[in-house]
Amino acid sequence: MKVNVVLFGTMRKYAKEDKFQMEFEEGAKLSDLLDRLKIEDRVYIIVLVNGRRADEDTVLTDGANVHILTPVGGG
Amino acid sequence: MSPRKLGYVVPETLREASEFLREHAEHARVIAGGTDVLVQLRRRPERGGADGLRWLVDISRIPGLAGVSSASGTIRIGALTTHEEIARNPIIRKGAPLLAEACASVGSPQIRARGTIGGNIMNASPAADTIPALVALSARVRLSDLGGTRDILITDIFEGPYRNSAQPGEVLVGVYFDALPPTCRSAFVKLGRREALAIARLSCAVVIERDGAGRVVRAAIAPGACLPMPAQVSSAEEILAGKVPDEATVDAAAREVAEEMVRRTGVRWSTDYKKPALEAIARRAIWRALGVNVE
Amino acid sequence: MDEPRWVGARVSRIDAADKVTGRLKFMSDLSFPGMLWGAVLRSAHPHALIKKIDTSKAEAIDGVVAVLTHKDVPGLNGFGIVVPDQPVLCFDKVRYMGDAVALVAATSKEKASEALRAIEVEYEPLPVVDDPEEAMLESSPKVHADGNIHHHIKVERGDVDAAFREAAVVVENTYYTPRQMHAFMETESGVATMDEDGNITVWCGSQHPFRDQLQIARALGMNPRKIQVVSTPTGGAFGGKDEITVQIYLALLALRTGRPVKIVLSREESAVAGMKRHPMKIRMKTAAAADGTLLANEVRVVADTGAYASLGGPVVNLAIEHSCGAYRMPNVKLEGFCVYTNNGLAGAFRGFGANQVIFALETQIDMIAERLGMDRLEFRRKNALRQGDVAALGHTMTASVGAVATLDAASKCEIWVRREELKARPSAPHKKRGVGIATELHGCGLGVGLPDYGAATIELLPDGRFAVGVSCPEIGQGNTTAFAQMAADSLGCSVEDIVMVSGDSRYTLDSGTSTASRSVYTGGNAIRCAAARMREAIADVAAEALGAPREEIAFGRGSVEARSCPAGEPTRSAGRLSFREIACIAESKGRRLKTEGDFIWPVADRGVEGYFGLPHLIYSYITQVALVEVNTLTGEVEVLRAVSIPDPGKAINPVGIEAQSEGGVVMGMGYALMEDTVIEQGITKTPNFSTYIIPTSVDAPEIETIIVEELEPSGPFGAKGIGEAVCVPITPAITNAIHDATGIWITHIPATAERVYMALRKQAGEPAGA
Repeated sequence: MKVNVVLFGTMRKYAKEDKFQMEFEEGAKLSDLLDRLKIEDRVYIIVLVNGRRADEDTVLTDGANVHILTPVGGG
Repeated sequence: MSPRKLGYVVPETLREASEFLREHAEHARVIAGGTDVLVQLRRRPERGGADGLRWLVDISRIPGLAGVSSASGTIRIGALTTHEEIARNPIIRKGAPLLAEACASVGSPQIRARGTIGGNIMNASPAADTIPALVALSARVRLSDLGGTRDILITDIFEGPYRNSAQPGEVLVGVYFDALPPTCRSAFVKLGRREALAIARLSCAVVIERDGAGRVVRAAIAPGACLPMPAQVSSAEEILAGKVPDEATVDAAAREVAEEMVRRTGVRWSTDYKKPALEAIARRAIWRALGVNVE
Repeated sequence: MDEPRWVGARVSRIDAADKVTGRLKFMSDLSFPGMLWGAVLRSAHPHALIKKIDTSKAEAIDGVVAVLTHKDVPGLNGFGIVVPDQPVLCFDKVRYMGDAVALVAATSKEKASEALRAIEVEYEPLPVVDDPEEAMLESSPKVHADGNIHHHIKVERGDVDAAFREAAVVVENTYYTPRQMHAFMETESGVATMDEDGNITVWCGSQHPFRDQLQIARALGMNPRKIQVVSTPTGGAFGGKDEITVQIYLALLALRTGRPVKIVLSREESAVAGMKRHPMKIRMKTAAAADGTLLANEVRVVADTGAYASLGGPVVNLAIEHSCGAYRMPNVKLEGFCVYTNNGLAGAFRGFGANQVIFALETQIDMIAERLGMDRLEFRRKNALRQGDVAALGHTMTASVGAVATLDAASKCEIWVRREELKARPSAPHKKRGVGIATELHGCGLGVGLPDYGAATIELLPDGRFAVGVSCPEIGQGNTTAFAQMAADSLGCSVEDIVMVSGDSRYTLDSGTSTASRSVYTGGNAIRCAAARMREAIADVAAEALGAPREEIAFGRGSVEARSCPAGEPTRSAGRLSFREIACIAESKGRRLKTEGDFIWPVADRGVEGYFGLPHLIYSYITQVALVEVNTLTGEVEVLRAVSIPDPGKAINPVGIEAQSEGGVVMGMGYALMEDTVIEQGITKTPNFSTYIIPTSVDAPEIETIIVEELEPSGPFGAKGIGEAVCVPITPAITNAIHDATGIWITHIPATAERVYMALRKQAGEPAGA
């Protein structure tokens, strides 16, 4: 299955592109995706799967939109 | 910021209060409304907090120390009388309207409801609102101790900013002054950093009595928050004395108030502003004491 | 959808009765059995090395349950929204007087204070860095090892030098702005508890419970799922509770003691340790052609961020973005520095960098108009951005643009129309009156490069009401009332049938911050999405129960019905089901109707290479007008009247907008005339409200709010955001009014009586001290 990934802000350093697709076996979890991107700090990051906050155990589905970012603020 | 261990005693008589205050001297302090003392206790000692203090002596239960009365032309205000009570009191509004104005300008409704005139005097803040008014009224204060009471002029109770001249054991019981006759007018004008809840940066109290021809027979001018020690400015008062004041006379008197301030304080970084501002406030207060509202 | 019934109506705040009667419990009101009091040992020096910390005497005090130092921080000893450069508990050095060195928990507040006094810390004082421009020099002592320049941004477009050469008018000035305090009523306070399973709950007023959860988890080395953060209600925030305040201290103490722990900062501690608005020195050079067309703006901003980064970088970015205001500006050269010093801490504050630069820009605008002999309002209208224009940073203004509309409304407001007449009648001969005007645009949401998202939940309760969950906390701005109105109209029920759940990391989905003028827009869009799904779920249940085809189900107010009769004939009452009946039917089948909605913000077509958070796509607009009276003898300034003309898109709750507008005017007036946290050699000289002066109700002018609605198609019901803009242009409107009254220009705020008086003297040609 294919998953759409978007990296924001400082998370962009984990890939060449900001937006890309990744292939996974059925049943893959978010932790597998983070492993493959070699994202080590998993405490202070926010991952949205289809617009909702997800954690490492969240199971990915085909066509899921995954946004990875660090918490930010601004005015 | 740093609450500390303090003993709290509540004497029921002046004798008990004086005995305790004598025994503990600089380690004890009188508290009434608490609007100044409690704020000072929150400061760290190195930033002007009350260091060395061990006891608070709450005099608010001692009978006979509150209220305003009048007898044969002399007005007495008990030390425990609050700003709010004074500002509303008909005897004061008639016999010393500038004091009613000064009390009405103190802090906020909450502070006026708790803070007392005795506390305002004994705290000896240079910015205290009631003091210029009391100075212009030539008020006397009465101190009580084990041996009896003594009366001194209001100006003699001050030793410096936040320092009074009471001896250990002495408690301020009241303040006295002559009611102003109908031929007198008075005014209190204050410059704060905002309209309400403002500590005076400058103020001026004025009492003027005129004869039937409009000549000034008595003038008292007492600026606040700008002199090293509270006082009248007699050189300015003399400019008005015996004259039917016109614009030039009032301007000259107001200028003299400001110049006298500079003579007494020396030139400081703030003088550039304070001198003209005090002149403006003194002018406004004098005109108002002449019955002309110039805002 | 039906015509909105609640959106746009003047609805009383849903929390009004509880707030005015005192029934509502803020976090600092909460108590638990066995609760301990926590306290924080703050630094004794603005800049010093820590040589030794000895807690033994404090630990020996009867009633002291725990004393914690840096050794007791299990996870990362640092926090900070962008970079975690602020130690939870300092270990090697302290960088400002508010730095935390140790924590205590004791059985009473007094015992906790006693324990703080018994902790012995040996310091080696370092030179104090208190001037941001000196701090930028290589030779300056370093607040942080990497140097004192935390952030630098530079944006160039067009050719400013050529524009300056060709311009008819060029004005160049330096502006100074003060360190404003948020002055929220509830100081940074809260309670933390731990259950038998080691889960921690932190009740603490803040602006983003989900980010707090992550920052706490990072410091405690814990799984965030074991930490719940509750941050509604918050007793005022204004940006000052965006960053972590006491949450980590509370969690650490609860973790160590296993007991509930409460911390309430005193006002003085809050003033010393808490966040402030960045003081800025702004050099601005602005040019216009003879016909009044703005040509170029060159801006250099130096911001004093104090000891730690927090949101200093983004604040400076937004100062740069807003430095050309609501105008077309074809040539720009904009540069900002965010600099570390030992002067307290600066970070997010309502306006977020715009207040400072808009004060500078709007003064420049008045100066240029005067030099060209043009009407101030006309000059602004001529240069104001229109939809489709390219803005200063090069992005296209595709969203709704209300700049001209708010200026048009200003041109018709009473104090503008009658200004000459009002000016001619001061209350005394030595007083002078003036009318000032200023305008701005204000970015809504987090801007390009920062994903801005929201989510909402809706649950049909057994009694037929709806529980609507949005995590953006209620910080006093009234967002929960706006959410309830939007939910009521989206669902077809009454506001009374909405139960808002807010600011709780366990019971809501993450909807981001209550900052950046974003929560109504974000939460509203997420609610609309969740509500559409809820209506479908209800229709499913109804169709089955009524035996009607799904597409025949129609929504009424508080009910659904089957449209089985031909059009024009009345519907059968038997075919109607109330939401309560729907809940019962679902319940009988073991179902609870619950839906979720989500929303991701659109962003501008063009970013600024190398930086995040700017520019924005959606802006709110506002023009404000002030009538002032200046006492020329004392320099005192009184604001007599103010008119505030916001474009919030659709005004979801006009009463709420008016409240924001009035509060904003008074806050911006305090900034213009009296507020400044004075810090000398790293020591705060104004730690309480007796010395830090804010306007009181008696100082507040008569304020009129005129709402101009430029609907934003991407917003819920057309709404944008207005929480920040309302406090921004009023500041230069007041200082421009002082100019109109007296002829002096105010370039240094607050315009205290001294500053105004000395400027009047200088204008009259009298030397100081004469």
